[in-house]
Amino acid sequence: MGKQVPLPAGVYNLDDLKDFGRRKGWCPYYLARYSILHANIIVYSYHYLLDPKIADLVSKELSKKSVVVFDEAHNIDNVCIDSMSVNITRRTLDRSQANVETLQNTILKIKETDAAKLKEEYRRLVEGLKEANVARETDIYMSNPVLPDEILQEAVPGSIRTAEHFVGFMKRFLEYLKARLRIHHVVQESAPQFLKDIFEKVCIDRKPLRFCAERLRSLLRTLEIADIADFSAITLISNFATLVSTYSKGFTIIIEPFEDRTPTIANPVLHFSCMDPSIAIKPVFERFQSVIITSGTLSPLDIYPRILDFRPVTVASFTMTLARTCLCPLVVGRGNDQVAMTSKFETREDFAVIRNYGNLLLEMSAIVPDGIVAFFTSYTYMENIVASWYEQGILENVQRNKLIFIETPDAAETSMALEKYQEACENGRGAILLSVARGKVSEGIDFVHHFGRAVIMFGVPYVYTQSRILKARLEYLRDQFQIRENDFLTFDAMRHAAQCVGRAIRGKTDYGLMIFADKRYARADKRGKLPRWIQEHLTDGSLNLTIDETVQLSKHFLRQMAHSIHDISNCNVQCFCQLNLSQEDQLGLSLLTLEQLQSEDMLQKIAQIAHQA
Amino acid sequence: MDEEPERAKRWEGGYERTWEILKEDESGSLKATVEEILFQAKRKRVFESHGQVRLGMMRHLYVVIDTSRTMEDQDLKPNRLTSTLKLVEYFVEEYFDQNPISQVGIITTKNKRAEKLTDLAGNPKKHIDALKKAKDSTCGGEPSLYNSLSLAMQTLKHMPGHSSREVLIIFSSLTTCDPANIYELVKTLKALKIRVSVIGLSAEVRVCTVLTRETGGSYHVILDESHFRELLMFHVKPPPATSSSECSLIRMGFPQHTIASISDQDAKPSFSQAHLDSTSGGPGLSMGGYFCPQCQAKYTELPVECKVCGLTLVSAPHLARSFHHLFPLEAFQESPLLLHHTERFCEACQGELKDKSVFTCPSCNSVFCVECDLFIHDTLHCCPSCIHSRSAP
Repeated sequence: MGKQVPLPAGVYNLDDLKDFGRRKGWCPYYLARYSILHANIIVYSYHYLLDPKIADLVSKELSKKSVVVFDEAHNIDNVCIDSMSVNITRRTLDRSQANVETLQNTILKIKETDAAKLKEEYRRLVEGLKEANVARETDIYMSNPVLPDEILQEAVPGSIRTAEHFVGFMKRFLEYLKARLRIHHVVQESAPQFLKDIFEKVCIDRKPLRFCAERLRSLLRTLEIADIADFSAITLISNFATLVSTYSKGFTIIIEPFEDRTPTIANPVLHFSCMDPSIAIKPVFERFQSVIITSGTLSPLDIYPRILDFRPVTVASFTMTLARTCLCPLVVGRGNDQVAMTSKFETREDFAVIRNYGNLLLEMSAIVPDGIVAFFTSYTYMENIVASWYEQGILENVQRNKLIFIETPDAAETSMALEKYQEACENGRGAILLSVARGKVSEGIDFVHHFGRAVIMFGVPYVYTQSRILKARLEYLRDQFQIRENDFLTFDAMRHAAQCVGRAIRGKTDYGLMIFADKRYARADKRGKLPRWIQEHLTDGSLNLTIDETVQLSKHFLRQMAHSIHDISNCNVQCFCQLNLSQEDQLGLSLLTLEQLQSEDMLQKIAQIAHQA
Repeated sequence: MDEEPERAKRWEGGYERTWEILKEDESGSLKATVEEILFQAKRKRVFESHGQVRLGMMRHLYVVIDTSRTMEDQDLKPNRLTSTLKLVEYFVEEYFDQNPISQVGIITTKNKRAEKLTDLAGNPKKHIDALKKAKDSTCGGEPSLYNSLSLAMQTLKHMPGHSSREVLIIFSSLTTCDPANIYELVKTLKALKIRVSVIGLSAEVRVCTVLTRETGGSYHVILDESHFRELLMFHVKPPPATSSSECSLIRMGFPQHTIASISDQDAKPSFSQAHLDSTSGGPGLSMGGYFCPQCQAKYTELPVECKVCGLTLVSAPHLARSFHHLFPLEAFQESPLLLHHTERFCEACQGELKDKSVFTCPSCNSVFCVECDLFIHDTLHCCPSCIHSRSAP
């Protein structure tokens, strides 16, 4: 009912759909799923397209001629990897065991009441997979990396065709996994090694494992189990089984008996991590006619085609057209006592470095109006530094200038801190927000205008380099794509740094300071990895500054920016300053009205710029 | 437009690149650049005339001076406080010169509190004395925008509707310590039609931007001391009146100055009303003075508001002095010297025309040099040859 009546033309977000559904008496979830196929423009998160489990349900039938644009795609390789990785803990296994018990009981019950259903499923299995194959060949459906093409050429193997056999099969698999988790030292192996071990221990063959996911899904459908969420644990295991048996390359299995931070608590985890992001994104590239990857901090550009394994047709990099310089990047490398400031691991406990960082924050809090956002490289580092500052009395002095708020791993606390921070900026009291470079704040929140007049990066945000998963990934990249470990780590760190400082400038009338507080930023290999729109304002004179010099340059910059925003045509300015620009002056230069945009020469100019790159 | 890079003054600690600005011409001489620099320094952009707009001539202005911790900063010499007080003294003098029927009061704020330095008054001497004494005061703590604005508001809201109510805040700190939500206060200010302008000494603060935007004032941040002076002088001119101010007929008294000598029979010495509660020295008793036409109270100086009956007492020249704001002199047309072959001498000073460009009065077409143009627009407010031609029979 309602399928024939289309959604009237317009723009709908989630709330609109819910309202509409409530008015017409339709379920908004299915309304959304239905309208996806009929919409002209869809805006949703990456996971709906990249995560195979979700993409299968939602985006399978999108037209081939669609244009796919990945916005803010600097983290796209991480998203791809996360969607194909599986982590299994003991709790998961326990819950899966419970699931399997439930399945078994349900099957017994149904056998007593309606055996025909199971027989029907059996028959369908033999033919059903053929249907999916046909659909994929004629390109009606997008391919699913969890269910690669090869599987569809074959029928489900006999050992798991009947429901009881399948349940028994899963039980054996679960026992095996439990045994594997009972270890006391770290084990790392590749997928084929793992499969060989399975075969030796429990005589489970590769082929049936591959059909696990599909088989489980059809079983759940047959048994008409309403609450799928209960079975998330067993679904996870079956996905894991299919993945591990399908791909011989690009995945690694690491079993750790405890987490690194808590070596005494036994918490065994099996990490099945994908090391190759191109696996998840390959179906997208193959299916759709045009795919565009874009971001404000996508640099260096050439590393992305290598990691995602595609040949780009066009590569273009644009800078911001500004009527005046609205950002001021500075690299502070030394304190006033000429001690180098850095977050290098060896110098983290150094008293002088911590004190210099504190001084930098104190001085900036005295000259920057409204809000300052400061990013640290990790939560532990931030906690250590803040504790030291408290002992040294620096925090007290800073609080006389501005209020201080801290981001914590807890989401509720962080959003409360953020709210109060914004209120303090609005009221004229001024505030500082201390947060972490890979946290929620750096990836989601924008600090426009007075909310972020200065962004300070304390140190270079390298990811935790001792993690085994990371090491495996680096090794894989080196072997497959010839990317050096150091290059990749620097690239990852700089992209996060660029993302953090990019939070401050969100518009053309916005302005802000970007302070990179680490001497390593002055080096060419790091500087060169910053996006072009930051690099072009980073002059040689603003590298390796001391705190005093930074304060002077910042004061001057802030006065200039405040001066230029307001239209002062009545005054004689004796220092030769840059253009005084109000909104009207910027029109035509960096802001365009609708008419200007549609005018002939503007269109020509745009075409020219696009061809230049 | 100037493409040269931003430069900071040497005493601000900026790095001066003096070699960049001087450019040699073909013969290797620097003369052209030096002249250019001097010319730029002389030339000011002429004030925009508002045309036929009603101006708020009777102004009640409170100047709020921030005396918090940041005023001890030495980027204005000798420190911000001394420099500000000196400039405000100069401002007060100019203000009464241009707006003789207006009043000024001074408020200072520090340590999260606000204090009235002087009340609203039309006598510049009192304010200047108070400012001189304030130079010795200490700076400390944080300012409070809320407290200073509510203090100003307490007096301003009782002012008559036809006068222009203004507050000028000189704000050096980057933070303000307010007891309550300042946005509520902004709404009240807007309802009372009080116009708040801010001159910032450090950087642009959000709360000031909103405050001035909502109340219809202006917000500027200074670059250096001369810019500070410019911005203050900008506020000497009467602002356009808000459309909602009542336009009413204002009662004013025009007392005659009576000078009685001792030989006169009826002459009696009397105290002036203004001296009754003043602490400055002087005998106080005088023979002559201005007597209010309504209640005969005596005053020695005009303009003043009669304490007894509330009538505004002014003399005719005072009103005439404000006249030029209503009918401002048009900006002269600038043209390069080369176009003028016939005129070799400036009409006003009779000096030879040597500058790059000359200025022509649109009504009488006489030619003036740069300095005379400046003088005419800032001080004279009328073109000398126009007056000369009109007065000739």
